[in-house]
Amino acid sequence: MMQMRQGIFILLLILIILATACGDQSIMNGQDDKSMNTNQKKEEIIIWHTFSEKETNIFENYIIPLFEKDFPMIEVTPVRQAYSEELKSAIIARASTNKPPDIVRMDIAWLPKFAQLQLLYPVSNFEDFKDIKNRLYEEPLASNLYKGKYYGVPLNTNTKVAIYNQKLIEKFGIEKLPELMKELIDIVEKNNLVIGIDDLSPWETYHYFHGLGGVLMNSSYSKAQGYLDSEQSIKAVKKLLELYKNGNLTPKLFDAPNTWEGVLDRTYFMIDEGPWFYSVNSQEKIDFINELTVSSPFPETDGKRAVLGGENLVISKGTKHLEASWTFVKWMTSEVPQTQLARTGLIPSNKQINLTSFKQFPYYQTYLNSLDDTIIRPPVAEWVEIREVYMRYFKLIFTESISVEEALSRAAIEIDELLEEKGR
Amino acid sequence: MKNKKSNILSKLVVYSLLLLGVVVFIFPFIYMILTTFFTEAYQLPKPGEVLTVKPNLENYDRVWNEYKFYRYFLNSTLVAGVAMVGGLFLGAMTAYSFVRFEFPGKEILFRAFLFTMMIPLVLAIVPQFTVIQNLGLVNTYWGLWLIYIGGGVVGSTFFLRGFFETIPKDLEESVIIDGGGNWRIFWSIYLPLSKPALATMAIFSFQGTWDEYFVALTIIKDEALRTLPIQLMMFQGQHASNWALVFAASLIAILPVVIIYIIFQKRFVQSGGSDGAIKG
Repeated sequence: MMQMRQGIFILLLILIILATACGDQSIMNGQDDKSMNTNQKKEEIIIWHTFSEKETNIFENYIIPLFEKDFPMIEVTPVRQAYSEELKSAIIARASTNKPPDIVRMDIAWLPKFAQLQLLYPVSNFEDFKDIKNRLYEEPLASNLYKGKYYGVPLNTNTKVAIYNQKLIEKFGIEKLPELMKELIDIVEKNNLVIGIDDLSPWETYHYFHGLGGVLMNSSYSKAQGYLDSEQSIKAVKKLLELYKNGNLTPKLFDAPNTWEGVLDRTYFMIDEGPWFYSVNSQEKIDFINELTVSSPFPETDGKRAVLGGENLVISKGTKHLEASWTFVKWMTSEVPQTQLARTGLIPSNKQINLTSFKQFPYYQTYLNSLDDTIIRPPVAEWVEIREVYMRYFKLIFTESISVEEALSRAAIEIDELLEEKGR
Repeated sequence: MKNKKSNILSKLVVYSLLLLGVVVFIFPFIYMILTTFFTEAYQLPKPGEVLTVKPNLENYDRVWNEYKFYRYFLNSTLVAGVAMVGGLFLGAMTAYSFVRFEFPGKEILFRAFLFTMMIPLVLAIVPQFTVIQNLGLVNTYWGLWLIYIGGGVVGSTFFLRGFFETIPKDLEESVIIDGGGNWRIFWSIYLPLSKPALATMAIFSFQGTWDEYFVALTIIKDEALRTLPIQLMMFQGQHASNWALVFAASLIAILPVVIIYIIFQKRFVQSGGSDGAIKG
């Protein structure tokens, strides 16, 4: 009994010590805490971003100081966050209670949701918005458009390009890389080659589905029935399934496709990937990859190639520093910061940036050549839910648990319900 | 003799199966440890590569020092420690009151407690954040503790109420005869007899807050105040992750939970200490 009493006493003591120890939160306050800055005259804007470590280094140590030099009355506080679904909910929670970061660097696929929830300030309301429009790539800029207004500007952009194994190209005497999807399919089928994809998400498969003739929705993104379940879509998915069953699409789809290694060790004839396939590596590894592979724009169908990715800069509607935020956002699309960002391997959204000087990244040009022909994922607020439906039914199709016709018909109904429920 | 032989044979089968089970369960863990020995692993290494890698602690060193994991480790220890002790202590008192006191609306209140456990965190985060903001506790650990201890009290009350109900009321009489009150009964009878339940709850509570990501992400703004799970997520890139670093960081992060489990696991399976306390 005595022992127990002592035990509980110790526990209580720990609680009290721990609680009082944080009275001044001394462990918790960082020395670099900018909120402690007593310089009242400066206007502080907070930006949440999900840059990688390498990108963060350039952003925080080179780009922000350059801005602060140009605009000494504005102080930019960057907060690095991990990219996750929870981050999206955290931003929504903060914005809903008027405690948002002033600026967010946001995945282009998230923007419609935030615009629908009216959490973003429409930057097309600024008079000088039209002045910066011209310097930006058209498709990435369009990813900011929601119900006729622009809710952000593209900061960096990307898409996927085809990456082929050099040795397999030589071995099978392929003289010209496929320009059209039809040519690619002919080559892999004729030579019994394998295409590597990582999973069945739209990011991995939508461009194949589209390339083989499939259509997800109508052009105003309001209806899937009549499109996703149409004959041409059924034909496209049947072709994909056939490729998978014949071993022309990675047989390890539900295992670990390891596409990055696979295209180097000749498991795959081709994979498609974003610029990070190169940029996360050391220069030595990039050179090694360049020896073993060759890149080319993703095979085209009806003028479209691969899915558009990238990040936009958006301003929270609840910001108390609207003008300062806009000043920063505008400046970020200008030549100096865009060139700095390109040093990390990110593709600039400013089309005036000359990337020929970036000799270490010879792959840049392939991505730039693809940017005008990208496929935009439907810019609807329900995209996350639609993506889930798409993946669920594609999985059922590829495990042959359900026929292609039935899967696409059911998926189209579910997607229409989602679109109807919440309204665009 | 024949009996002995078949006995050995059945033991052999049983042990082989158990060993197989151990291998199956431990394999991913070993694979994870071996992956941390690679300098770079943007794609998971193949089994052949894994078995030939030379063990080194370089990634652990990088995670701990270069990425300042020691700081977030300390932050998490503070957050989870206080939340565990606070939640458990208040939860035990609340459970005691549910077991030993009669008051109007007791069952309704208890059901309301249960109901709050069923609300998904994503739905609750906006109202919770509003409360924390109105109290001026955004970006402080007090805000985190309010939510963690509040949630912890509900869980421990639910868990400990059932346990407290198995303690015979007759035990209290000896305290009452000696002039002790409710506090003495709670302190000298209920808590000591509930050690196994408290230990189990301590593990759950510590693990729950140690791993908690979403609330901490929403409430905490400053990088210096971040807890381990937030920092751990930083290692996962949007497009590509260096799994060697991710796994090294994960292994460091689970260490305290493993230690807490080892300390308390002996108490885990024990039943209450009140058996035979009262003569029939």
